[in-house]
Amino acid sequence: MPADNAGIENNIRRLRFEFGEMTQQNLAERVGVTRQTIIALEAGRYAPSLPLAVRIARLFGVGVEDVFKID
Amino acid sequence: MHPQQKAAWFVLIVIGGTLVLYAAAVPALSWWFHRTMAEAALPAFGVFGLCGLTGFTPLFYRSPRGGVKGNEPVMDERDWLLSRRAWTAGMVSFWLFFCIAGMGIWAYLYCLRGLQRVTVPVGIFPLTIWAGFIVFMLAQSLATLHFYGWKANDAGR
Repeated sequence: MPADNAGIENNIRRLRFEFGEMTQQNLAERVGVTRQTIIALEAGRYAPSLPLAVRIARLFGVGVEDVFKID
Repeated sequence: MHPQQKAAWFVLIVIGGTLVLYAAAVPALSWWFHRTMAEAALPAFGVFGLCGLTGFTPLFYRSPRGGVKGNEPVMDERDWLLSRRAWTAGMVSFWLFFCIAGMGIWAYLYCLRGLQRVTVPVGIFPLTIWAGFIVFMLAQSLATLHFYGWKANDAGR
């Protein structure tokens, strides 16, 4: 089965480290998902919903297109 | 490991254990009551009552704080997506099995054995439904484990 990332890449891992070396668990709790989902996102195996993408971008204080980009 | 993975493993263990017990119960009943294996096959179906244990799977979704572990939800959007896909895989498997079993019995009796006037025991219908339920549970559990990944810490697909 192909990955569900719909050709979307992201900078979540880099942003986490730039944002005070935030852990995956911490990020998961702050955007309201499980840590497994953050792992899947960073690995490019899952494309988030629009609300989740916006929550992640807001948390890092950047735009959605700064976090996610389509190939 | 996510609660859905735990629940899926639990279902696989319960149903797998039940199938093993059934395979053991048929010769045991046959020997105990001095019946043929074919005669013992039907009463041995009683062990399938153990499949009722699958009703305990909601317990895996319990957490100390009313469904939330810290601030992390038990089920998020990805979990619901994988759950829907696993449910679909289970329903597809059930329907395929149900149709094939329903037509297969007819084809076997009518075409292969040449019995043009045959009475199908009424018990076949609930048994087919029951077997279909087991197929559904198995397929849903296997699909869940496949989608999440088979390892405990694998984020899956």
